[in-house]
Amino acid sequence: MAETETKNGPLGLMLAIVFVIALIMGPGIGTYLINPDPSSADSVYTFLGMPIIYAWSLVWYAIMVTVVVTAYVAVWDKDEEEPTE
Amino acid sequence: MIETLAQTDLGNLPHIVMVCYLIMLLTLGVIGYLKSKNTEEDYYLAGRKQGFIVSALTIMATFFSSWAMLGAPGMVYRDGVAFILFALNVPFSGSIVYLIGSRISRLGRAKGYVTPADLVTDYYGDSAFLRILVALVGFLYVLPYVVIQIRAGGHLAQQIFPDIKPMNIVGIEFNIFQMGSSVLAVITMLYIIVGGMRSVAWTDVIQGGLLLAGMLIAGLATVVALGGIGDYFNRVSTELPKHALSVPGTSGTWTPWKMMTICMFASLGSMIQPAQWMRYYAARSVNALRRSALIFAVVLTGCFLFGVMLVGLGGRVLYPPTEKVVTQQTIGDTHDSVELKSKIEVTPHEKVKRNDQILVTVLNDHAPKMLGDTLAPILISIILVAILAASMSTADSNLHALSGVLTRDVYDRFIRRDASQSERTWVGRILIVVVTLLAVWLVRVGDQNPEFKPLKMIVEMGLLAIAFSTQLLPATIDILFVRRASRIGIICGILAGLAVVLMFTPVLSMMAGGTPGGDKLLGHVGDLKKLLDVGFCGLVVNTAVCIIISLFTRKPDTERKQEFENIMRRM
Repeated sequence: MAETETKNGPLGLMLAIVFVIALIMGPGIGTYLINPDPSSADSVYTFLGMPIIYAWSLVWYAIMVTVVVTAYVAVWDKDEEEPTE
Repeated sequence: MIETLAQTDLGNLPHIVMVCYLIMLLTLGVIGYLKSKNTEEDYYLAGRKQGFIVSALTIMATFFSSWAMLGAPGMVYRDGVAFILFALNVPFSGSIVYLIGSRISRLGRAKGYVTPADLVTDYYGDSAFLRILVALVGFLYVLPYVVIQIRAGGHLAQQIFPDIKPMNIVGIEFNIFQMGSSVLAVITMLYIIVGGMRSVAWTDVIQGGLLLAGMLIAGLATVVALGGIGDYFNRVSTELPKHALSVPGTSGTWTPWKMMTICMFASLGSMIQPAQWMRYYAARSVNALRRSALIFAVVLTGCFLFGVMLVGLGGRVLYPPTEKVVTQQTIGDTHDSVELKSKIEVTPHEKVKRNDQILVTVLNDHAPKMLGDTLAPILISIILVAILAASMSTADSNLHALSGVLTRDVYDRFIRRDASQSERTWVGRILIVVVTLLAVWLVRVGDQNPEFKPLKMIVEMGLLAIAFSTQLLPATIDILFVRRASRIGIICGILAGLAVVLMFTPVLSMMAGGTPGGDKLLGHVGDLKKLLDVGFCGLVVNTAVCIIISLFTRKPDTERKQEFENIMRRM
């Protein structure tokens, strides 16, 4: 996200950090926080009626999409003139 | 692969739809030819004029193969909800289209690059060895993908036309598998030869659209089959076994560390492979890639999460697999100790037969009930063509990229430096014919002799194709962002990374298997493979070697660094 240095540095940096956190938390080691343990009787397998891991993936998908849309609108440059055919 | 569909009475509709689809592809090839100029830049990069819709769909269609339609739901069927997290690699891959792709695109347009090696060798200094090495990394990714997709065409034909007897064509006997793979390969070859990148991209637009629609329709059909969204989640949550509702999944494969490294580094590897790299060069502007990145990250991930992944989960309820706990003996850390490890083996339901058949089994059984006898054949025909489209869109992009790499990085540099533009494009076309015929021959011989080693080896290498491609990442990041590595450092890093990845192929067992030390090493490599993404393992060594060697060797001069920085800063 080096373009962000010239256009919208702090926001770009913040979005990059949030995205990396989403990658660590969503598919990565963050799943340990909510992962039900099959050997424990107290484990919770659902959230709002759906499997908790699926719900977890939807949450992080929403966060990633928010980051990408924000970057698209506010950080990623589009200052190039499009050549015509 | 889709045996169950063959049992449904679909009449001639799938055949008609498929023939229409193939004719449309050839027509797009001809239109692409009529709009083309006989230059290398036009043949390989469509004159660098692709807009955002074409860029987005061709990048997406190249990104996923038939695996997206069959393999992904199959994995969820086998391992449960743990594999759904894999879909979160897609927003990251989408972001890379802008973050890396826009810089590559800008450099490519400013300096006239066609292949990845053009950029890498221009920055680090024109080294024949480095050019060949970068081309080799691309080759290791591309060739297995072409062969595997052509083979998939054979499997598809086998299931759609099970009653067709072997035919004798010009004195050579072809069974339906061989005919299917040959037809897929020849039609793909024809429209690439005729129209180049323009035809490949236009056909990818159709194929990408079909795939996205197919993924969503399949998910919707599964949810409806289980009684709607409420009943779907209720049954999934109550009827699946506990280990299928938790990480690392039924087979224990998808540990969080492994999933995280796959999502981070396999995504990067697959987005810098030669076909994608050339798509960044082909984009009309940075703005086209910016929009493509958004569409890729949002739409494609949605198609996975709300479409095809739901098929695997619902399929597990509709067709419960058999699970058996098996205990294995493994050599412990001290050589004389033995550890006992247990794991769950999953055998698909008898109606499903193989995990990757779950999507077509669900559609076959439930589409007619949902849609009636008229609409169901149309839906199933669309899904069949979508599966074919998935194979062809991956095969065409990779075949086209392979031709570019071989022509530009080998023929132009080492065989005929003064070849004209026209000669280069014709050499590219001849190479496409040669590679296609070679791939068809390999698949044909492999079909006649299941023990045919070259094909088995290529398929094994295909499983690690992204891991090979990932080894180009340090060079890519260094050129685009860091600019601190040296040519020697990059070369040594890539060699070290490739060597590490090769340890995960049968090469290591062939070289070291059977000896006590070798067996122990194989055991450790196997453990590492279970824990982390293979490409990531290579990347760690690659980066470390690159950094250390770069400390003591000469880096590109300041003017070169400044020139590259200035081009990218104009973004």
